[in-house]
Amino acid sequence: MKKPIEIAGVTKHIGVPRKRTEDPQILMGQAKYVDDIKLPGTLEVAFFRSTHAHARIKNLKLDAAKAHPDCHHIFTNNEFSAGATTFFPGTRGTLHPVLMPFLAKDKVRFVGEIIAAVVAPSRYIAEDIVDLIEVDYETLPAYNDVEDAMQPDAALIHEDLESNIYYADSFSNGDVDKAFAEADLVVSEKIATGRTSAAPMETRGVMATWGWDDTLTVWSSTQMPYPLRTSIAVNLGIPEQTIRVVAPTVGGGFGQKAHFFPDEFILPWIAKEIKKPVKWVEDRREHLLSAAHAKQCTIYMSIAFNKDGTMVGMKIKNIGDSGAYSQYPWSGLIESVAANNGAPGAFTVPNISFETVICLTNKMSTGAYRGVGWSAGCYAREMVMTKAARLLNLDIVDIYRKNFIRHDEFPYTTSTNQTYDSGDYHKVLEKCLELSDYASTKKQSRATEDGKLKGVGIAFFVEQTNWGSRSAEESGFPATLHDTTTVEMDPTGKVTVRSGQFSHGQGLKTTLAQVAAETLGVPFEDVVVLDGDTATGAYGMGTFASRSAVIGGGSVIRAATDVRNKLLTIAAHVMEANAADLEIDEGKIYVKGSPDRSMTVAEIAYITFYDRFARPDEDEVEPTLSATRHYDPPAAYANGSHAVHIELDPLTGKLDIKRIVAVEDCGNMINPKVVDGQMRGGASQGLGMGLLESLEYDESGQLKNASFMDFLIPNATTLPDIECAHIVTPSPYTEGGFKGAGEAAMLSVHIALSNALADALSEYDGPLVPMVTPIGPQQVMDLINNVNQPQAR
Amino acid sequence: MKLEGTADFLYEPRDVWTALHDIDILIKTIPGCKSMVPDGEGGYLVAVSLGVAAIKGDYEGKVRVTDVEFPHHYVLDGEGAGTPGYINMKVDCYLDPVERGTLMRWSCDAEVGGLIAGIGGRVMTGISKYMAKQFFKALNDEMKNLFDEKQIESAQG
Repeated sequence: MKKPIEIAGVTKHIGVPRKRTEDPQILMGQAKYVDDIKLPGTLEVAFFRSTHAHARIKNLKLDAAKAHPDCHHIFTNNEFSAGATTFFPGTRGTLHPVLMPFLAKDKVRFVGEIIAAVVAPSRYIAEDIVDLIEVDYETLPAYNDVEDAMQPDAALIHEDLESNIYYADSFSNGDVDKAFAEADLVVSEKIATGRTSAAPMETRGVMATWGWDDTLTVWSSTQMPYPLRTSIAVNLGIPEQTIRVVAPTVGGGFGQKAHFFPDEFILPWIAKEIKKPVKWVEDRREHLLSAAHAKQCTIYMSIAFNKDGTMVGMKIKNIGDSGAYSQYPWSGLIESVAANNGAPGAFTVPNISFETVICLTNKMSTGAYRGVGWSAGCYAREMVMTKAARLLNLDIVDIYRKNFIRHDEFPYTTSTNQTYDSGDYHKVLEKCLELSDYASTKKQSRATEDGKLKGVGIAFFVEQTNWGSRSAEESGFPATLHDTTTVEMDPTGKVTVRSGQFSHGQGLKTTLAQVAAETLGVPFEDVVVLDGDTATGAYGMGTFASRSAVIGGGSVIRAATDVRNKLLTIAAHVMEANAADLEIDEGKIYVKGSPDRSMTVAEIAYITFYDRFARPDEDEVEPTLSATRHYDPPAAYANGSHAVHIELDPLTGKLDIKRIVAVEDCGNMINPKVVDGQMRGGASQGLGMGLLESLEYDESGQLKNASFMDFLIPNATTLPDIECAHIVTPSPYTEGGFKGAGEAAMLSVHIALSNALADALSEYDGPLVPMVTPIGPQQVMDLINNVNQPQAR
Repeated sequence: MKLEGTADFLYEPRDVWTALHDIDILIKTIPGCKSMVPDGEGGYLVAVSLGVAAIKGDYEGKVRVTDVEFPHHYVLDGEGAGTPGYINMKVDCYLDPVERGTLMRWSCDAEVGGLIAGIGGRVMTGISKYMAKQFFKALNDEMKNLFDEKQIESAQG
């Protein structure tokens, strides 16, 4: 492995809590989202969607709709059967592709599936026309629980498969049976995590226009403009170089927008067919029905312990609820396969075996959402550990300390073959315990004067970050993922960073500029980052999976280093000095030790482009100041700890969140303010998963809470201020020592919350430990009431 | 969705049965009912227009009466669809003679789909109960008109 470039923790530009340059336009309402893109003559699209969860389409009646005077076109699978979205993954087992058609053909498999696309002058009229479409369905049994759908006599959701299970694998390392047989305590539980939606503030949306010059421009609220461009080219048979994909301002993605959706192909295809601009912006109901769901797993988790709390073995069966299709490019494996491969977490688990089963149900498919895999997988492990701690008369903290991988054991390869680069887990845990007053709170009485119960919970996580090829492989996906950045200096010495990543809330326009400014030695203000547009960036995979600071930042470091070296070579010639003796600082190039012998970066840049007499001969040094570099680093593993203080009303089951403390180690921080923002945002969504969010389907496969009236997410009144702190152990493997920070905060707040509930209920007979998310009032009362029933004891 | 309830009538089961199977009465009493026409197969084609919150819209469907044990029990099988979604339901009705007249016990098993399920689910039970109450009240009123007129007629005759 090539030795990475080291950056000290805090320098002139790195580690500096700079305000984000992208914020003023967002805060002042000037940012342009997909819906703000206006082109003359634009037509709008509304979709006719299935109201049945599982049914054959017997007769699609379009005549009344077509007769509407404002109906421009109606497209169905008959006109547009160009295929379905796919991309990578191959995995250990056999994966059936289970593709989602762009428009349903003979059958619908979830409520909300697109059957027809109506094109009209406005969305209002398009929806009126949609109302005129009728369809005769022949209904089929619908499944909303994997364990029903898995039964051998279950109706097939995809008839080309032999069962509703479309992927299964297993893995074993060590002597698991022996470990379990010899252990002092085995705790086995069934854990069920609720189905969530990332629910970004801006829903999805697509606009497309076919140009007079036979070029296609697509605006999409996506996290991955380049892979989308390639996928459109492949699926629609359009030469890729004639396609431009623009992700304008995007109001949150969280992994949900890092998928391909049918509308991202239907709209471009319609634009090509009718040669007019077309737009579709998802409403919230459509979003909750048909933008990728997440996190629903049924997990059977057994952990074997010695009396002192040492974990000696782990057995897992993780059944992923894929929904009706496999959601690409990641596939429906993303939740459960990642969960199982990361199952040991921060701990030494010498013996482990796991099974992964991915099953279809009649719901929208599941995909990536912040902390995919780990939010559910870690929850299962930690809740079992909490129960074991109670049975062993220990605190969960004792079990953490006993089983942590020690800081002198890195690099450490887990029993599931993930190689952790660095960390100091004890230090992070102790910091979180101290900041959250964990020990002193534990000594206090649980009961408050007004009849409530107080509780404190802690959680610890390790997160695999920076999804490049190697991270993906260590999580069970042999995919190829990397990124490219072009750094250009123009004749006035200003710098353009052309990125394949895409800032949609992460502050990358700021942080990548900080990295470029640091590496080049120019003022921060002299750097502009271009992203989110395939016409101005460099091919990259996009921003998701805690990858952009590490892979984007790393490729900026590499490209900027090349430009810097070139600049110094030219400066050395101009200044008649040795390049090795030159320094660059804030736009000034000077000879080390003689700051008066200096020129500005702008002067050297100008000479490079415009003074062939002063610059070196162009056969020796080409007169350009740009470099394009790729980066595909090894995995860096971030870690952190959360503590949550709650107050429980034991009469109603209502939980009030009093404090959230977050401590995180993401290696060198480029911008601590941005890291804090990620920690707060992730913690909020983690709390949503833990406390509120569950997409509820009824037995016939109808989504019962398809609006924000019924599907609850955290808001300002739910959330306390989130207290953040950092421990820094730079990654020895990555450029700059960076580790990812985007998802980490969503990995363990829900665990700390459930632990706080278990703590609040610690004086009840039990142990009462929740094994489900979310823990709403109903789940809390169930937990409390079961103990009072004799059969539960 | 499962719902159940009871309704009191001041008339004996035989009369209640008659009213419950009288198209003219049903059109007047079913909330939002626009028309009810025999479909020639023992059932009826029904058009209903509702104006309540998330279930607002026009629905067309079929109803059929099965498992008839005159005058004590029948099952109403219904399916309907409209722009806001669809409803399939089975209503099990028992008419028991009691001192004051008839006690009707009904239980409904309904499958609701589409917009009304996703957006209206929260208010569906409340709306359904409200509509059932409206229906039975209207039915009682209609029966009063029908049977009291008859009594007057027979008294005069």
